[in-house]
Amino acid sequence: MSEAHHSEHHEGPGFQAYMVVFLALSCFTAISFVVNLTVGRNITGLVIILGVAVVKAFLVGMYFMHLVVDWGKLYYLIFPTFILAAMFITVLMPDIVLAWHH
Amino acid sequence: MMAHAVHDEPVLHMGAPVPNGKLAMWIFLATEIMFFTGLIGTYIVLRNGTPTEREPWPIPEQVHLIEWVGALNTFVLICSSVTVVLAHFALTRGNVRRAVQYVGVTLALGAVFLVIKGIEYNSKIQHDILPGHVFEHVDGRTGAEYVKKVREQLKHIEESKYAGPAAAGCQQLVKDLELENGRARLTPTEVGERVNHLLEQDEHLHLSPVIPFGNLWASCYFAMTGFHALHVLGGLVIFVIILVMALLGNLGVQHALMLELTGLYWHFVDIVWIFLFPLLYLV
Repeated sequence: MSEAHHSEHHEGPGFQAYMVVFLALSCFTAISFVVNLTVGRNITGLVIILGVAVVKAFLVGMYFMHLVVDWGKLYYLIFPTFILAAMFITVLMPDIVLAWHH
Repeated sequence: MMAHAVHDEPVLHMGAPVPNGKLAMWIFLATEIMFFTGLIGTYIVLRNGTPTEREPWPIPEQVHLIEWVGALNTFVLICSSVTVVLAHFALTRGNVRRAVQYVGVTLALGAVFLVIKGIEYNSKIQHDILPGHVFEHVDGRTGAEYVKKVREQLKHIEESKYAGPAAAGCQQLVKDLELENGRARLTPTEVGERVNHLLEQDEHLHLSPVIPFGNLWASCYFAMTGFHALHVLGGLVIFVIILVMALLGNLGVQHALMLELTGLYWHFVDIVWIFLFPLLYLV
């Protein structure tokens, strides 16, 4: 398909949305840091901190990478990649679990 | 008849309904996702599968990682993500001058990230926390080598007239390392414990700590952050090219897609760090 078919250029979210996402990302970074100091290195801290990281990645992907506009056009490419990435980590889990049994 | 046939032919749209450049960038990013998944996945397995309760995975304090420095670098990259997206926003509106300013700020923020990373790497080099250099166990053949190295380091500390919080402890260790009737008073394991205690009192002391799994940690740390830093460096090169284009008066609204694609790459680099920061510094 030629570039001419796509002459309309999606600008993505507006200035205000970018600023809101920026503030949210900054707050989430601070939350991760504070949770690490207060909750400590345990399973609760791990779940909260990695959960916050996922939310931050989601915000960057959706708003800064314009997936909020382009997801419908690119999902077939991104979604399988996520599935493969998740599968990759999952199939390595037995190594960890077997090690715990020793 | 012929004209009618042509008229009835359905209009075919091959490929994805996005510009070719954007599709190519997303395919590239998909390969990058798998690349970093491989690195992060390996790290997760090594970290959770190998250490035991008696010999846990190194904590940030042991390997001279400072959490707030990692958080600062996260904030720097987030700021740079905003500026690059605002550069694209400005360029789509024909405000080339503002777009160039934002790209310049992004370049500066990326450079700040690398400088902070460089300072962090220097700290690892100063404390010899490098793959293959860390003393993990000193109860075997490496014990004598370790004690010899600590003696030399203590000698340097004495010569530098160190007067910090661990000065008394250093002097005591020097005395205790002296041979008594030709025999050592401390075992290498005890020397390691004393050194680790001294480093708790003053983390800036140039003494080699004993860190179980320290080499594995260093390999993971340098592999993940090193590849990430190379990606940051790649992004900076592209920003320099964009600024040179602007300097030559060649940057215009027609380059909005190019700037958007550069931004896509830069945001991906940001997302990778969003995961590396908690995995390496926090949890």
